[in-house]
Amino acid sequence: MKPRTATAVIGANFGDEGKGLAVDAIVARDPDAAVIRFNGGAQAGHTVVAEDGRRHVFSHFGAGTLRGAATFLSRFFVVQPSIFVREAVELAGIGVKPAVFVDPDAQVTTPFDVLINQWVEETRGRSRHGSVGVGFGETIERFELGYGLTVRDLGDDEAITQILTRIRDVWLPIRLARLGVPFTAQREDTAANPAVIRRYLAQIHVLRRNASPAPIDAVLARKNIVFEGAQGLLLDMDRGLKFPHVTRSNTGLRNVLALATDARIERLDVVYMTRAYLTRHGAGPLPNEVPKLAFADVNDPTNLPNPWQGTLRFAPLDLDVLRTTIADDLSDATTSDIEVDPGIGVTCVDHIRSGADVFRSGVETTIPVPRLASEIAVAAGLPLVLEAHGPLRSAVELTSRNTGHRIGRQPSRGAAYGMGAPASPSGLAGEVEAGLLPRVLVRGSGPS
Amino acid sequence: MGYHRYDPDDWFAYAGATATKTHRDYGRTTILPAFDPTTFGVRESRKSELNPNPTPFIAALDVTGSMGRVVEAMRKGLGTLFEQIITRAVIPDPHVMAIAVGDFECDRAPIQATQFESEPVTIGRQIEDLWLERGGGGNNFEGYLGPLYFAALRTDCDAIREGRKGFLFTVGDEEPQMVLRKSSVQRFFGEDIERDLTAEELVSLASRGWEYFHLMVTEGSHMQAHRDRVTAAWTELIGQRALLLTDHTRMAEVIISAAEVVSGRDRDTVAKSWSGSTSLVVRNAINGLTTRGGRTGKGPRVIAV
Repeated sequence: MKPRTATAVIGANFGDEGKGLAVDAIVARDPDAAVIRFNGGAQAGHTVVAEDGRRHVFSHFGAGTLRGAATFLSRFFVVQPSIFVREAVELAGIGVKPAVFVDPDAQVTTPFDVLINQWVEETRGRSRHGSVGVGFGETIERFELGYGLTVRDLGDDEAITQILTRIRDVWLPIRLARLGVPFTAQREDTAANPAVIRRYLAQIHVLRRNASPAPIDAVLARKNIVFEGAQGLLLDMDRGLKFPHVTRSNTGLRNVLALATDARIERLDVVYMTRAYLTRHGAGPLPNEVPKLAFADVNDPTNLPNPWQGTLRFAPLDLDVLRTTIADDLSDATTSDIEVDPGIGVTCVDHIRSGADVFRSGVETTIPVPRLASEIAVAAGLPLVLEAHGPLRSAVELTSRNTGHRIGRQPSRGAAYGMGAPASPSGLAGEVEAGLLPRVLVRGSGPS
Repeated sequence: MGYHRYDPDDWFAYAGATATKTHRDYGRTTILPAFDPTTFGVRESRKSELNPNPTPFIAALDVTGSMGRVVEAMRKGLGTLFEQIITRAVIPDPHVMAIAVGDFECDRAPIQATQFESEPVTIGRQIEDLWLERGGGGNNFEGYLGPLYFAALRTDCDAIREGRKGFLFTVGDEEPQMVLRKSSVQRFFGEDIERDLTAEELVSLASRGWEYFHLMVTEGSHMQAHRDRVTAAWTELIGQRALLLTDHTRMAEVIISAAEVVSGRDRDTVAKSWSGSTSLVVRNAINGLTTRGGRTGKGPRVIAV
């Protein structure tokens, strides 16, 4: 029987919330799993650390891959052949052979999209955008203006070459002119080099042999279906903090609901992820930004002090923004037939020394570590379903509200943190009455 | 050697079949004669139709003590090494050789050299055939100068004949030796030389044909205990070419990045071209590196992080 339920992991902020960790934890519950990438593309970087020390940053593959979960790249996902191969080669090096299915309608990045990205960055010089530069936004732009390349087109080298040639000869000059990026003789040479298409075709061959074009049904035989989001709600192209500093995709429920409808899924557990503080990569607005969080020691996998060297920016969490952002996203569920059961996951609690500063009703207050995750959940008006005290699966406490079954290293500690219970039943009802959360939320939340 | 072309699918098959192996499973209990420098003249890297512009890379890896896992990380990273060099297209047609470096005072086979190979599976199989004695360690006789001697005098590379340099990396957690003894060269290379060679002499000799770097493995026990001493000694010898390797599983990416920077690519662009934590490891390594800079000695100190 096909599963009627699924779980979605959605970042509530600007990305880096710990979605990889959450997906890994959810897949660990039942590794007969499929992870569906429902937005964005290979610019994601979701870190998973296995108990045996293997570590991988997932960009193109689902974060459940180390545990044997299949990946489904949906029609909302942009395929990036060079990163697909790069990552498959890396995964092979740690002994992982991923099972990948891809929607024939998914768009595919070409080397010219990446070149445009690079040339734009060069032209911008110092006022850089902080763009990761894998051609994601350019792929969408090209597709929207009628020069698309989809997975469906990848069956035949000659056809691909024809499409690529048209993109190079027609689209590339148009796009560069519009961006005000000079198409210098040197750049023309770079684009015209036949090696560009030759290398690309080699990557497509690898992609063809290692990812099967298929509709979403291909993965529905798996028992545990997980939708993995990229970026976060504050980067959503429609609801986030305004272009150009957002991503060109819907980072929230919208795509999940569309795909879940395709898959005839009836019930969806949604986990909104946040760190115990707010982060942002690269340029763009970050409310309440501070040069350094006074209350936290931010660690990275290699355990170096302050490793991000200015690329990651920090701020205390604003709980009101968190609540309204999530409530906004959940409003999409009110028009859907799918029953949506939201919760919140809080990560990097271990980075906080004794208590974290947060903004609540516009006032900065400190919440001590033992109460931190549960109070964030109360403020968001959602039950706390996941709490992480480190980058390893064993440091994650995960609650399943439906069965009351809890998985974690120290189950007893969950109770102390108020895990497994709705964060505040009265609070949640209050939010609904106040119109901040749609009524559908109350249904099915709380332990049975 | 080096008449094949890299194909990712070959790598998937090989890596999948050897995934559960570790350096502890390398079966040899003596040196493979073919890897013993006393048994052959030179190692060749030749042009071919498939690889018209070969670029030789030598990864000379400390195999003493706990450093065996560095060799294994190299083997597991070979796919990435080839895939990325070829995709990034900054450096043409890689030909890779691995050298196992032991202790010149107490090991029986402190220098073992594979062939130059143009694709990762063949070189991976040869690495599995290295003899890891796991001796030595801690006495300052790690044979880091052996690979310099080898690269300078026992290789014949078309690239170098044409005036392009190869890339030579030694990797380990100890300080450099100060001299390569005449007696060691006699014993392990089978050659008579007039006198001992100093580290400075060997660096300048190797640097004629090779861009030389040393990767200091910060996870290594010796480096953990004596980081300042090790960093100072290498910096004294090769300046900014002494790079910190803060995560040995990212060695391939660091090797590619260092090679690209000295080939003229912007350091920041190179660091940013990797994702997530890899980018941090690369940044840690190439922080102080400049294009065509610091070939030998007395350069600026490595920035400790």
